[in-house]
Amino acid sequence: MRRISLAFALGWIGSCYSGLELGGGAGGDEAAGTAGATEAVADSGDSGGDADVAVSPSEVARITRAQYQRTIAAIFGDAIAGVVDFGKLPADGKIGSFASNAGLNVNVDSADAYRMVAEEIGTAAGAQAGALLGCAESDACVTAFVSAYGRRIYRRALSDAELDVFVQFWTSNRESASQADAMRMVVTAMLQTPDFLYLLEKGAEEDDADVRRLTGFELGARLSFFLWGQAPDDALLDAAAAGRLDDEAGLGDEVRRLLADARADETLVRFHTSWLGIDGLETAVVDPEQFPQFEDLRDDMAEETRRFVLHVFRQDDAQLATLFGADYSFASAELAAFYGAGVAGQGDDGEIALEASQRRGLLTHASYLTTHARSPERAPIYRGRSLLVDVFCNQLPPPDGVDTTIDFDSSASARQQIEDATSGPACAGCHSLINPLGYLFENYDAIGRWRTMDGTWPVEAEATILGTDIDGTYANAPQLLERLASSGAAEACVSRQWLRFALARPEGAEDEAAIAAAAAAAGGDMLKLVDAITHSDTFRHRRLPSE
Amino acid sequence: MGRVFSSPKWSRRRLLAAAGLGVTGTALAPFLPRAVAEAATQPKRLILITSGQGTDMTRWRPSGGETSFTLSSQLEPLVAYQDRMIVLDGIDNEAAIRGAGRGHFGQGTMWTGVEVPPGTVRPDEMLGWPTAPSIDTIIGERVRGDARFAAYYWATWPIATDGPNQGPNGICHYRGSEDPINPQLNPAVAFDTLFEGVMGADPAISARIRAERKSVIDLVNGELSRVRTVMPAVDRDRFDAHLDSLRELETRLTQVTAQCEVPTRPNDFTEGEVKDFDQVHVFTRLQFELMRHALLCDLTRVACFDWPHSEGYGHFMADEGYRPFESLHTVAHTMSYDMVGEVTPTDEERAIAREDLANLQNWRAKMLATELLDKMPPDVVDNTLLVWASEMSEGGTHSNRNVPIVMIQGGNFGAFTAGRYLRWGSYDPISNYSAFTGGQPMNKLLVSICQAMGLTDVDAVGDATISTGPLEELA
Repeated sequence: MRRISLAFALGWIGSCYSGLELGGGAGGDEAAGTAGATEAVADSGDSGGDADVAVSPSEVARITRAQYQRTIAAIFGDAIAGVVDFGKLPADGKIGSFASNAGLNVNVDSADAYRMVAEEIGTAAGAQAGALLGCAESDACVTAFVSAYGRRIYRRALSDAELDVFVQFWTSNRESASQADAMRMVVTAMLQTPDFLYLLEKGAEEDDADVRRLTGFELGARLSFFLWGQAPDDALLDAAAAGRLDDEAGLGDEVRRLLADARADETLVRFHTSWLGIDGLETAVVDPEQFPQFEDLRDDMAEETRRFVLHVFRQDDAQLATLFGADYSFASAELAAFYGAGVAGQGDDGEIALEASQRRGLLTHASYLTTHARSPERAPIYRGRSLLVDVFCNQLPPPDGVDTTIDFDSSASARQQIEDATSGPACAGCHSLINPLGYLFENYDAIGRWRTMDGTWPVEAEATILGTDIDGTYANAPQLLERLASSGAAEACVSRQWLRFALARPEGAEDEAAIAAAAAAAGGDMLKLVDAITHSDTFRHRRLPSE
Repeated sequence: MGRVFSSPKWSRRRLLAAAGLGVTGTALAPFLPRAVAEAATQPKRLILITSGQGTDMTRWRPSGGETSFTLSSQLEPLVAYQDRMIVLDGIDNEAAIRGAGRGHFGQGTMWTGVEVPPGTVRPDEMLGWPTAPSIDTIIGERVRGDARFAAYYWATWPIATDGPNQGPNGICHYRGSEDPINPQLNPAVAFDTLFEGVMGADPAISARIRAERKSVIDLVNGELSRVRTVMPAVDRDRFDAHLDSLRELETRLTQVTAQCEVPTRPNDFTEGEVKDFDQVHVFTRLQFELMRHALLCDLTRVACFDWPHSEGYGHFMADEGYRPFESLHTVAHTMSYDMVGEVTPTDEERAIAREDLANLQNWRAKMLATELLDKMPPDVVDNTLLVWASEMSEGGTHSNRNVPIVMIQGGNFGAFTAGRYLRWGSYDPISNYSAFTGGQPMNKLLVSICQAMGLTDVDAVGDATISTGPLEELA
């Protein structure tokens, strides 16, 4: 779908063509080992295992900072997690819009960072050694502790040899150390092991297979890090151990349980704020002289998006059409006042009815509009880019070797000056796609407030968009957003984004089937989409990268 | 007003008390580590200072000739070091100009000498990480001797080092290809990383901590080695790299360093606190104190520090006796004569903005003089080369040509002829630095710095098609 629409655009926009990468993956060079969407699907059936299973290659990757932190809180409780400075953990890399450590090595500073955080957790755990042991200290008691906590940390049952490593470690340290110190050392060590830090996926098949069905424990870990952003709980580990994740029904039971649980809330919010770049709001820089209201509204804007997403998924129908087109939202009194005539009515709990000619859905939240404005004059370019790349999943080449400076002055509207600056042959190829999408949002200033004047110029928001499957002339953003969910390209793109988020790796040619199938199965229902992804071949298998 | 993070749960007083600042000042600890005691064994040290967003070049540029020059008001705080100074006026951050990553992205090119390539690290600009190490890595690995760190990196938050804005517009230093180095923003963490085990107030406790860490690393090593053999062969490179890192970490953690005096440990700070632009001045002092002691204790011989660039605020300037300003980014744009906002600034607004930037650069020079160099023992300064550069020249133009660079070479360093103001190329005093011609590529300077640090075999750094060989005029 996506490629069809792009090809259509390319048919008459020649200058964007030469630089455009049709590949679907946004992984960049670090992910060079994985397939791009242009790689042939056919040449994969030559070795053992489930060779005809559709899945693109993935490299072994570490869990992210957020996953690490949530996992520690889940395993050791908030009392221990609360005294740990997780900010010391190594910074994450990114795949597309999402945090991921695929393709990144542990360098000495990362190793040292893991060491420091593990020591902090170990020290806090040591202070509660008795409670964590939960029995009078003995060989059996220590073994039981290592077995239970080891399973949560390794996300699988430990082998006897592995149990022995930690029990021995405890015992030998205990000869000269207190119980608290023995606990500290064991926890510190466990949290630096590869089984904790990496998502290890060896698979269930024999060693020479390129495509491997994940073991129950491996699938459980993928599932839990995807849906909860943390390691599996005991119930999920039990289900994995009992083989219940190996069949569709058992897997479906766990997916439903995890999705229904409040622990999935954070993931639902994180997906949307990452996907649409709204997580940049916290650090967005807005000129306080030009926009003195912003600082007091920053947190309210983030909260609007959080409440809205959760409401759509938890109370409403979880439809893409609702996400993009809802006629309601949530706002503090201050934010509602800021939205002015865009608010048609206000409920008790902060719910607001929107005046649909001004605002509808996630993409008219001030959080999104601010994050993608970047500067008052250039906002149409950044907003248009976000629509094109984030929502329609088109890829754009860098403006290579082109001076992208625009010398704005007061001689014309910003729109007119952007039009003039980007209409040359070096720019128009892409900007004829980008700009109209951005112009539709001209009724919002750089912090998302409705406006009808751009300085001394009347706002012109009407634009004719190109390169999508809902091309046409729209009066402004709300008109587009009313129709956006009917775009097959956007629907497929959301499916692509969810898959990218689920796998934390760039998608390849052999993931396309899963993307299309999930979008089809969902019928616009994003919870069904998530469910479909978890049942896909690509989610349940790993293809080894070629050496 | 204008605070990026909204809930500072700490007071300035607490911060100052934590650092022992504002109470007694930070008089140099009266100690000389073993390695420092004999001048003959003094290692050469390198300090790289990066300050983003350029400055007002007209107020930066000295007046006068090559050997008889008068420092500008911006650089005046460094006047005591003028005889050891080389002011470089006319160096182009050429790799930034050649590639797609211009303007702020010159941070990723200035110390690496390679272009910022297309990629997905910065989706908006579609740029990736530089594909080469920066000179601090190249030099640090070679000159470290027994130092615990090949190089160490401090910063007050340059905004684009982590999180959604992360990119080569904020990260200046690279361990290798596509391997960015996140500077340490948190002085408490820097302290722990640098000095733990060094203090040795009680040698027995230090020895026990070292032994404990070694035993944990041994265990983790065993687990990694097991996993390495169990997992598919294609995953092994990842685990091999991890094993290598553990080996280096073990050296770092178990090495017995010559006893030397360490500063008071700073308080713990939250992430929000260390990223508070209104406290840049406080954190600068804390970080400089740690840097001085790390160099004195020979924990590293290459020290790098980054100041926030485009998007910092200037509120803290009020605490430092200057006129405060709002967003540095806005100021830099307002000052410009060829890149303006929706409403063209008046000449008066421009003049104010230029003065604000000049004040900021003056404050930075003051910090380098009073908080760094003045407080280091003279014989250490004598063996240190400090290089202070920005990725761009006039902030408003975002031009990467004619970037402002100041070097201060210790008296015993002996690599360059100091006390000079070197100028290349031609510039228009008000403006268009993009049109500046006749400059020398930064890559030559990078070679010169390598050679000055003893890497005499280095003849090219970064993209050799830009240039090879040193900046001859420095000799």
